[in-house]
Parts: sequence; structure tokens; C-alpha cells
Amino acid sequence: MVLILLLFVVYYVKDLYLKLTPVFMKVVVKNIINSTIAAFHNDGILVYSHLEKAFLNKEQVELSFEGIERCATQFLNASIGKLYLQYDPHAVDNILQYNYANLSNLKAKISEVRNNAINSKEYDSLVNNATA
Amino acid sequence: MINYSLEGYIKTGYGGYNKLCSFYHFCLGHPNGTHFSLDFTRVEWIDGNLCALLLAIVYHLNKTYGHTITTDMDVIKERFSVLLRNGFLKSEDYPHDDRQSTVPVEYFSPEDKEGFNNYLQYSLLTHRGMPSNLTDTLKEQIKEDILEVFCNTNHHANTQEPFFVGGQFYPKIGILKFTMVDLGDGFLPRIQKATQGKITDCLSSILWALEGNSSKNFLDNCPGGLGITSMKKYFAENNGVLQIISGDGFWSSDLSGSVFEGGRTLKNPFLGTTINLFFGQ
Repeated sequence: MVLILLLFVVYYVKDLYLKLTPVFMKVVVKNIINSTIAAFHNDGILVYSHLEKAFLNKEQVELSFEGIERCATQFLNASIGKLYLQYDPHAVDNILQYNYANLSNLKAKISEVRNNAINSKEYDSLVNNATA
Repeated sequence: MINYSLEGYIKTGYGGYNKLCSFYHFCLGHPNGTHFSLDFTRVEWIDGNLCALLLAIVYHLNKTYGHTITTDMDVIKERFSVLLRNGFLKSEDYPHDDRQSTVPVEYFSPEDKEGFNNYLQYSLLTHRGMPSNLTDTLKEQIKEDILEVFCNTNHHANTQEPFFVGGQFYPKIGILKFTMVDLGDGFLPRIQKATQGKITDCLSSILWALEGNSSKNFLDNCPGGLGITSMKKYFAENNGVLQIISGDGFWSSDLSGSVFEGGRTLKNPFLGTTINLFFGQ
């Protein structure tokens, strides 16, 4: 009887745990672009489509730069910047995490890209309001 | 065979660009498949980095019009060995650059980001002519900015033709000149579209980009990079020069304060975009 009760509790606690824990997705840049150089706009768009899918599904994402030798701003703008431009920045912040791997200045670069995208959105909004 | 003589001083700037492009337009005036001899005997000086532009011209003339161009190697060996040392011309007598003054003249497919990245890393940034006081952050910034120019060719220029590069270090004056050439559409078509027809000429499109605008914001729904404005800032602060030639527009940072501060219009433009960088010591 105790065993049945225990199994019952374990089953429901597990179910509850799975419901409360967001799904975690790992997006590995190198595997998507098939290169160790993340530079092109089109590379970024490929990664963006993975990030957007996760964002719309409310999945937690780790964007991993493992195996990447060089990461250019053009790539970051088309992947991460575009996500911040298209969606609520706070919502993006809440789902997106990074594995910077060995790229020492990547954290600063991503921060710059994020702020640039948010500022660009605010600027567009001001222009639209002014010209409406 | 038709002879064409280059003359005088062919330096990196408005005059030198016009001289090389005059040769291009001269060739355009002949039937496809013409054989030209390019004569250097009346040349007093040619900047080695301009071989990137000359190679792009020769490539385009041959591929598009079937023209072939040759030159007298004796004149080259005697007076312009730089054209051999930088790899523009090949000769068994000049296997390598013993003076270490050239940055090799090469070309890359617009897809070859790995190859171009290696070239930047091992041929340009480690060259003895690069400023010795560059911090790691500045080196990284320069590499990033130049890589962005290359990536823009892949994304904006609407071409699969190669991207041509080459450089020359002048130890006596402490300047390394580096030239990049693409054979794409140039700045104007995309910027004209992004500005909904407000920008209508090549020079204005260069100035629009130099102001920090990016067509990506308008056409790709994506934040734009800061490559050109970042380069402009670097060269202004570090005793250097940035030149941008696209279509018939010519702009150079060293014309600031002159009557040509806002740029110039070329009489004989070439294709695509050429960017010249002068790194001062």
C-alpha cells in the first residue's frame, strides 16, 4: 500500500516538475552554419530562425559558440540583433542564455549588438511618431 | 596587339584610380578578344597595393570581354619588382618578398570567409608595417571592420565575382596602404532602394553610409553594422586615411578641410566598390 502511494506521489511530482520546468534547447552555432567562422548575414539568419522558433515556443535557449573561432557583428546583428528588434527585449532576455566558449570579447560584443538593436527600435518608433 | 602606356605617378587616390580606370575604358572601346600590351616604361611610380585594383580590372576585362593583357617583364623586373614581389605577376626569379614590404595580392570568393579571415590574420595584421602600438582590442576592431567589408560583398554586392586585396608598406614614411576591391553593384542601388529613391547618386550613397546609416535597417529588418563609421573613426584618430570609391563617387578622409571634403566624381569609373586604407605608424 505504501509502495503504491509512493509510486503515485513520484508520478505526480515528476509530472508537476516537468510542467514547471521550461524546456531547454541548445543551439550550437557551428552545427548550424557548418563553419568555425560566424560572419555572414545569411549565417545569422539561419541561427535567427532557430532562436525565433524557441522564443515563440517559450523555450529556454542556450546559444553556444563552442568551436567558433571568429564571430563578426554582421552575424550577431542578423541572429541576436534581429530577435531583439522583432520582439520584446525583456522577453528575449528571459529565454536567451549564452555559452561564449573561448571568445573573450563576445560578451561585450553581444551586449553592444543588443543595445544597438533596442536603440534602433526606439529610434524607428520616434521617427514614426514624428512623421505620423 | 594594341599598346597602352600607363604614365607618371600612379598613387592611391583620385588621380591613380583615374589612371588605372582610363586603361579599363580604353580596353572597353575595342572588340572582344583584343590582346593588349600594358606598357610601364613611362611610369614613374606605382603603389603596389593598387595591384589589387589592376588585377580586378584585368580579371573583369578577360572574363567579360575576352581581352588578354600582357606586359614586358624586363621593365617590370628592372623598375617595378614590387609587382612580382607582391604576387601580382609571377616569375621564378622572384619567389618571395625578401623586403617584407608587401601584403600579398590575392583574391577570394565572396563565400570564402575562412580564407579571407586567415589572410587578415596572417598576412595583414601581423605585417611589420601595421602600427606597432595597436592594442589587442584595436587589432580586433580593425579585423572586425575589414571582415565586415568582405561580408558586405557577400550580402550586398549581388556578385559571385572574387574580392581582390593587396597592400604595400612604405618604411620611410611609415605607412601601410591596403586596397580591397569588389566587382559588385556598388553602394547606390541598395541605398537608393533603402531610402526610397531619396539618394540618387553614387557619392551621396557613400556619404549616407559614412553618416552611420545602414540599408539593413530598412531592407532586412535587421540592425545594421557600423563597419564604415567605425573605420572612419579609427583612421581619424590614428593618423590614417580611409578612401571609398563606389561607382563614380570618390571620398577620402584626407580631403577633409579641402574643397573636395564632400567627395569627388570620377570621370571613368570602374565597377563595384574599392576601399583604400592607409595605416600610419
